[in-house]
Amino acid sequence: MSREEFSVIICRVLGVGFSAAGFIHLVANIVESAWDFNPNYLGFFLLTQCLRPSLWILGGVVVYALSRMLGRQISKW
Amino acid sequence: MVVRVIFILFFAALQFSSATDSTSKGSEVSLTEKYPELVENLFAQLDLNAPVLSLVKKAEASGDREGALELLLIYYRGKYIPPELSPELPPAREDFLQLAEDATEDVFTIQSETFQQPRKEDGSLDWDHLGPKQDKEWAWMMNRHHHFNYLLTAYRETEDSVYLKTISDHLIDWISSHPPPNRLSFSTAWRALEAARRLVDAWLPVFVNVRKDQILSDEALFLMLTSIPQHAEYLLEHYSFWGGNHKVTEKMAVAICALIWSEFKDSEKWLNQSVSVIEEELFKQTYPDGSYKELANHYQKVVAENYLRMLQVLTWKARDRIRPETRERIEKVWDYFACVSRPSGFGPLNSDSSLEHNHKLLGDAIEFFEREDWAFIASRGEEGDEPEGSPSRYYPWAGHAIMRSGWDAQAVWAFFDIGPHGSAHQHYDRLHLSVSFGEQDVLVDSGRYFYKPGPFRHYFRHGPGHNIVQVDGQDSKRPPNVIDRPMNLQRLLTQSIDLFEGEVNFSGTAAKDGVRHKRTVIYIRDEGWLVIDRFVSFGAHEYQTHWNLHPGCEVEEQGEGLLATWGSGDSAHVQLISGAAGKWSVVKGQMEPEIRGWYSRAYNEREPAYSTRLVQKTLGPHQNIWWIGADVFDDNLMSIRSGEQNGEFELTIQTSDGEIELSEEDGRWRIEN
Repeated sequence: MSREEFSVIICRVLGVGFSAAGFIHLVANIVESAWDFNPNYLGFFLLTQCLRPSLWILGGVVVYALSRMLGRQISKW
Repeated sequence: MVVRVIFILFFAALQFSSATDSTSKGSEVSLTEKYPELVENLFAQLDLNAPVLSLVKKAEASGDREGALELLLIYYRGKYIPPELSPELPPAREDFLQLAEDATEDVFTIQSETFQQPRKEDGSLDWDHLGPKQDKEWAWMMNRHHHFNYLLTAYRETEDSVYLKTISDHLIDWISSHPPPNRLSFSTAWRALEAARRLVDAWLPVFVNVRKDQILSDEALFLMLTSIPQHAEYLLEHYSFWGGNHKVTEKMAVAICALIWSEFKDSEKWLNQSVSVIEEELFKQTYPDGSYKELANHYQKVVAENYLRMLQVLTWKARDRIRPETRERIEKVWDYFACVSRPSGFGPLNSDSSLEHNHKLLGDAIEFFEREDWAFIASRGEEGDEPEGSPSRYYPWAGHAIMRSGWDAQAVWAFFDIGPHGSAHQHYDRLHLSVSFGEQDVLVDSGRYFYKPGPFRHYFRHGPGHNIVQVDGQDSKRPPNVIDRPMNLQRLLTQSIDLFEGEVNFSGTAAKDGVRHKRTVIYIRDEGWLVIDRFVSFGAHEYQTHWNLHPGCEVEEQGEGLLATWGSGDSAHVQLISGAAGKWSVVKGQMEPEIRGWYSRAYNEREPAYSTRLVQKTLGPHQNIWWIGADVFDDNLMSIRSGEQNGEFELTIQTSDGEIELSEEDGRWRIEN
């Protein structure tokens, strides 16, 4: 396996890891809050409970999508 | 000029009579033989061209060093000190005679601890010993020489020479064994704050009050004189450069040195440098509303007293040095100090404070600033002119809200902290509420106890020692230590009600925010306080609402709340009128499993007091509404409609002036009518 291929795989693993961690956090936050959910606080809920895990997921997807380019760049270091 | 000439003639006469006596002194080793180097240094630092030292100069010029020194001591013993620079001895404690008696036997009482200070092998006192609790604070206090004050009082009252002799001996002992270090030092003897306090609070009263008395030996007076420029130079060069109350105190000591001992060559330099730094620090260390940035009543006192002293001494000698804005800011510092006081006269016990009797400390400031409204506050309405407007106050920089019904001893009073953390001596007390009914404190801040790290320090400094809410056993996140603009907090001050609101956050995780806690305190004049705690959170959390009571109160659970009683049947209610069910815990003087239920009114003193805690476990956003008043909450007093939209409120309150409609919309409170 070339150095570039190895870097691409590492980037993809990281991307999947970020997304998976974000997804787990998101599900956990929703499940935790669902028990006594108050729709009056929907805005607060989305902002404080869902935004950050969603950014983790998004970050993971971006890293995965750019893994080939990132791998190429990293392999040149 | 005429006065100066009279002085010179007067001291010349003194010098003449004394010079004839001095020749008959026996075969004792003279000071010039015993301390040749110190004598040399002393003469090198004196401005012998000063007219008042003309005879000293003459003797020195003729090569009679011993005679010159003798004349110098005679001059200092007779030197005129203006009343503005003569500190009065602090009011004598009842037990001052016992304290003085103890001090003659090396037994000292400092911050409520009594201990026999050991002596070293050479017989000198071990000034650096850490005392009974091995606390550095003890050694620092020892090196401030505050015991001189009660020795002086005892000498004044009894005229027994043993007290003054002890001071004399201690001066010789200390100065001989503690040459100044040529660097910034945190040693017990030469930490800069200790050097300043020693000079101003202990040595200056000795010099001013008993310099004429021969029991204060020539050797002690001489050593004191040699040590004055050492102290001044040390404090000028090696001060607490990081600022705070220490720096102000230290520079103030240098200024006083320069004015009292103006015969030293560098005294003009001492004065110029110290006054400019003190002025600069005034604006750096205080907020425009008059609060001192450490936000602790004790340190507000320290700084206010220092600045008043500066004004007093400069008014005497260098009136033109005082800029109008400096005077105005110092007046504001005192105004804050006057207006935060409780009906009992004491100030708030916030952050690292002991109980300070603000009213009793106002005397000099009232006289200096000619403030009749402060006289009214200090006399609780018996003298002076009543301050205009509402008796409640809000300090937008300190974030301190004072709610009160009046300025008399029977008024009710509350202190609500919604400000920054403080620049030093901070406690984790944001959203803390103290309440007093007349002279009886009911809901209290537990105080500071001491500075030694450990479980007690932790208790007094953190959440459980304050009337705040903890979430999952954690304190809220710290607000900023200092701010550069007033906090944008909600407040309404009217004739009938006062309203203040503050907010804190609790830490979350990488995946979500923590809990937000908003506390709104509404004071309904002549009725009581409504405290609305609102929590925005998702998921399961444990909320611990702490209410700490004064040791003078007895407490019992009553329904969903507490009944505090004191004295001959007076009482106050702390009622949960709306909120999730929870479990109360009431303890007093508890050590295990955790320290709770203690109150400290002064450093090193603690006493058991009721500490209560309501523990609620909830899953989502919720709110608690508390009623604090002398009477049980009356449904007819107000109707509360809440929680329709994001916990917003509508209150209809019946007051003596009629009905008031208070509502909250988009997070802003307003009065409808």
